[in-house]
Amino acid sequence: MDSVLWLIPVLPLLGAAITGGLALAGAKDAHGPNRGLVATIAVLMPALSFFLTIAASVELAKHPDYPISQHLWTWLDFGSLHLNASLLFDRLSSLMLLFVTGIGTLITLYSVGYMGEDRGFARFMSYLNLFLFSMIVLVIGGSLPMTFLGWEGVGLCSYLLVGFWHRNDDYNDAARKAFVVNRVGDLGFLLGMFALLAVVGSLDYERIAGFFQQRDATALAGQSGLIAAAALLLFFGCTGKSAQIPLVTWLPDAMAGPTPVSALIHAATMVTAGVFLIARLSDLFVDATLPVLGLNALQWVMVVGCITAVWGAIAGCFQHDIKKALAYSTVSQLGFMFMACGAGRFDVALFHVFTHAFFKATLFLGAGAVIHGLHHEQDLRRMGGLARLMPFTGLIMGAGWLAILGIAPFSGFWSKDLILESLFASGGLGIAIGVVAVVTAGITAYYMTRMMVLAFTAPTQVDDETRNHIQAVPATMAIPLVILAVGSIGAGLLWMGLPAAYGCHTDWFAQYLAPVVGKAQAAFAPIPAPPGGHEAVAHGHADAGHLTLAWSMALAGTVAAVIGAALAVVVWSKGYGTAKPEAGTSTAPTGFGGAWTYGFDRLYDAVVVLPTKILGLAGYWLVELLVIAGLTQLVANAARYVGDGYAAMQRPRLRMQLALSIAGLVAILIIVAANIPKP
Amino acid sequence: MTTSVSLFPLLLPVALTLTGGLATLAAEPFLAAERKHDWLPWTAAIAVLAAIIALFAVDTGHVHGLYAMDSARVWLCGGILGATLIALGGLQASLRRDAFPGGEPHALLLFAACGAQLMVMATDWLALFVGVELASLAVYALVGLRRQHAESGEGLYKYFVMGSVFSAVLLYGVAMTYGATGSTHVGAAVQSGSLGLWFFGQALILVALLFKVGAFPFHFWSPDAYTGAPVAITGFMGAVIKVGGFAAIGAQWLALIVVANGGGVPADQVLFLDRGIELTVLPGWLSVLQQIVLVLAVLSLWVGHFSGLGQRSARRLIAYSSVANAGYLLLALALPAAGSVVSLGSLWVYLVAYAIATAGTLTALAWLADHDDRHDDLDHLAGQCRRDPFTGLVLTVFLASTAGLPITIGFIGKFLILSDLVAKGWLVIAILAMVMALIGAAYYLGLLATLWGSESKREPAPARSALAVAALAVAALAIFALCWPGWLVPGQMPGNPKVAAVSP
Repeated sequence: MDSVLWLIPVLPLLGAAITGGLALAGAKDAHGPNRGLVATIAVLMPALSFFLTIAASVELAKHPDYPISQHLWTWLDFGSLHLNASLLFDRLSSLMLLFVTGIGTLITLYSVGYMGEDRGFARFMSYLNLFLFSMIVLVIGGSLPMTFLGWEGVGLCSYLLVGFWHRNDDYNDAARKAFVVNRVGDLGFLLGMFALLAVVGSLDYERIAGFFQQRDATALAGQSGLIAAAALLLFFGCTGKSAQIPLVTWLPDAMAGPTPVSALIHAATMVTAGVFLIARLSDLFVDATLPVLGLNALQWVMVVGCITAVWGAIAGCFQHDIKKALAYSTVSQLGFMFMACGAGRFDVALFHVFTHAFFKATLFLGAGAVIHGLHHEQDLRRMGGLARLMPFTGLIMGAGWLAILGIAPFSGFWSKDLILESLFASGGLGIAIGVVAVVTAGITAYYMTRMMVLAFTAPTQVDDETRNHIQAVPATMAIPLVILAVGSIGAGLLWMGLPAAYGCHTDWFAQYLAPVVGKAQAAFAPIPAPPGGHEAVAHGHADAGHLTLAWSMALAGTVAAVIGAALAVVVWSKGYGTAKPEAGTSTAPTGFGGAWTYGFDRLYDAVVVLPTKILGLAGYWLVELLVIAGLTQLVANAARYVGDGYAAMQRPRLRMQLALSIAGLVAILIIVAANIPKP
Repeated sequence: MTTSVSLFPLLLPVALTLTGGLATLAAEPFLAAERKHDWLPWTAAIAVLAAIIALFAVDTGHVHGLYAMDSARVWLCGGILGATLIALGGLQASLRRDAFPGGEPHALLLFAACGAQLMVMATDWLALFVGVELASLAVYALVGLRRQHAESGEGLYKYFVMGSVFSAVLLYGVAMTYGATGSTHVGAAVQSGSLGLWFFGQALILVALLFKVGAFPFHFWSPDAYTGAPVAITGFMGAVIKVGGFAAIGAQWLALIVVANGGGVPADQVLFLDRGIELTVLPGWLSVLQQIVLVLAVLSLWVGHFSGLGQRSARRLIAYSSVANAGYLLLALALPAAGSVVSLGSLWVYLVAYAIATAGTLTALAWLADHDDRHDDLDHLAGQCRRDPFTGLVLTVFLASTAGLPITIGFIGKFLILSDLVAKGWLVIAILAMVMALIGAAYYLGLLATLWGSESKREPAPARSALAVAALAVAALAIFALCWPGWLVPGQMPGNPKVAAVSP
């Protein structure tokens, strides 16, 4: 198996190359390339990757402590820096890859139906495969630079796909914003990587984990500043990719892309890369204990996650665009995942990544079916009563809705419950954050129910023309919808939080990840080891207090969800009433200027854009205008008085430049002369 | 002993380049005006190719302590010759398009390449001076190629006047160094009691070299000289002079460390650029010099990036980009704590990455810039890539590399320099440089966005050059291929920190 690992990323790359080639070859053709051929290749390649991943996972199950790794080639052998292009397939990458390739395949299949009519079908499929390639590299890379390659690759594909319908400037602006904000995050990633390199001396994940797992207190204390810097800078990188405060506003704007893109990239996979990275470097984050501004790295993660979760949830309550409501919900749910990371429960965070991938993909693809059925209408104010018009879609989205609300036994219940539990269990700051999280769960229930009520049960606002021409959901769209809906119902069973609380160790998911994140979690919350060794420690143990906590969290979460949902039903069951949009105004992609960003866009302007302009202007003024032009004028006048006659070739300007250079020379020589060594 | 025996093989690449230049110069009068730009560039290109092949065969060693060759110098000469090849293509395309009367620019290009290679190989201050002057004189003539254009004259005049001032500064520094050491050998031991004189002389030399590479505050000539030169030459001078200048700065830096350690390089030995040297003590004077270099680096980054933002002319934009890149390159000189090994490998990688990408960018732009390079401003370049997808594609690759995007050699260069910087403890400067890199990326990518934009004001002028197409295609591939150096060029990469202070 370890010799064919490279095929997992390469297959989608091949798919991208072939479909891209077909797109280019068919560009001149009036109908474009053969859609059947394009669709077959585009779906087959990720599907093959998925099966290979399963095979590799089966292989891995035999030796859980020995990850499959493949050394491809030596990338850089540069002085003390030794970089390998290598792949690492351990429990963490296996889990991520299973759902990246699995859900990726399903969404590619869905796109066959959704994008079938589009002129750029082959191009779209090519980008989608390229995205899957990059995402797989991100996950399977054996070192931080490999992950960074994938990290940049998914950013590029996101840019290409958000701007896919570059119908007008709004689409391009949205794409550019996503790109630029992500580049800002990448800055943190790179710097964090350099800092980590300075600490560990290597960027291979196995070396990094090995370094920190020794937990040599004196060695760590000596470099605590650099370690904290590495963790915080890498986390800053994660906030960019995973749309957390402060790099958050690009995600709602990114909804300009086609819906399958929103489901795959901006809900299920790419945006969870930040959580993945933190879990991958869990040993680093646990050891970054030096407080910066009063909080250590994981506490920062928790606080930022919490603020983002609240912010996303509140913003979600004010959206008219069905996709934007879901986008803010994604922002908020990502916040929950980071909160779990912050509480030192990386396995719980990944479990929420996993269940969220299912239910959010279900909701997005369901919304896509609605948009498709209503002929590209995505404004909630023009929906209502769709339960009767599209009952299938309604049922599917209902499953996703119950999951995100956290109603037992749907998948979201288990993961959200575990997050609340781990927050309260971590104590101190965690309890305060946990209270906020419970309230946020209530708000989540409110805005999701509002969306569902407005779309499906409120009095209909759909005009007769549209009502009589509802587009049916084709099989290519229906099959993925059903599979994903089943996933959002059943994915939670992989953990079975409650039986675990009873002492039956069926929490398969946590045990599965224990070889990767177990040591970090044990170091974070040292619990006296039960006979089961560190794996048992990693997922806690079932004493009475734990049991009470589990039950009370389940209760609190459910009560919050029910209250929120009930409130939404009471408020919104009549629909918008008179607050309908004016005829002819499209509210869907209104400039993508982020309604309800709480002034974040303004803040960007004030904090980033404006200073840049000012600094730039200052540089220009100082050097170009003030010094050169101003002084030039002075010298020019002087020259005229002296009257040495040259007019051509801007001699005064030249003199000024020469004078400035010589002034620099003199300044340097004065410094040098002042520091001349005594013999 | 690797002295006179290997004299010829060591200088073979330079000799071949020179032969190519002389051959084109000699053949020029015998060719009809309309054939000149067909035959001469190809003749020159064959000579350059031969020189590149010769680079694979040269020995490591030195010639009478004047010029030396090692893996880093091979790599840098390769960068120079690669940039020359690309520039030859650009020159062929634009001179032919403009029906330029006369074929001597091709020869001048090769002479400048000879000079730059000698700068790289020099291990003696006077030998370095010969290289500097050979390169500069040829480039002066190239900048003023379009004699009838006012801006060309202006650029040439400024560059020449300022260049001569700083040549004088260089010689003055060499004279002081000679006074203090009794030798013009790079790294010669300082005679007792002369450390102050020597230090002052070294500072003068450093300043003169900083002028050559266009670092702040000695960059004022570059926007005008770059704008005055034909577009194809702009890239060449940016690339080649910078490689030569920084190779000299790097050699000087290693020599400073040798002297700081209390030693010196004997006359029959030389400093190899691919070796690391252990810094045993960090004396105050070296620390001052380092602070000067770092401050100038940060200021270069600042001035280069922010002044570049508002530029409309592609040439001026690249000129400010060159100031900014001088800043990055200077960052590679940051010293670690005493007791660690100093090696300049990251400098060499970045330098060649920059040289190839810049020469490529400007050659591709020369292709699009219309008759007499009248239209190199963004308004007129808008949308040109759509009409000429090949040029657009290679431009994208070069600019992506300059912006430091991954899977390009430019990314590796920035990666190495900045990771070195963090490892040496200069985290704040690294953060600053990264923020600047972000701004830089904004303007390189902004240029790309304009070039690929949908609006286009004019028809592209027909420029054709098979040489340019071939050189650009190879260069664009190299940008990717060199990103996996361990894989493609094992053993060719400089940067072995195994301490070997002075060659045997």
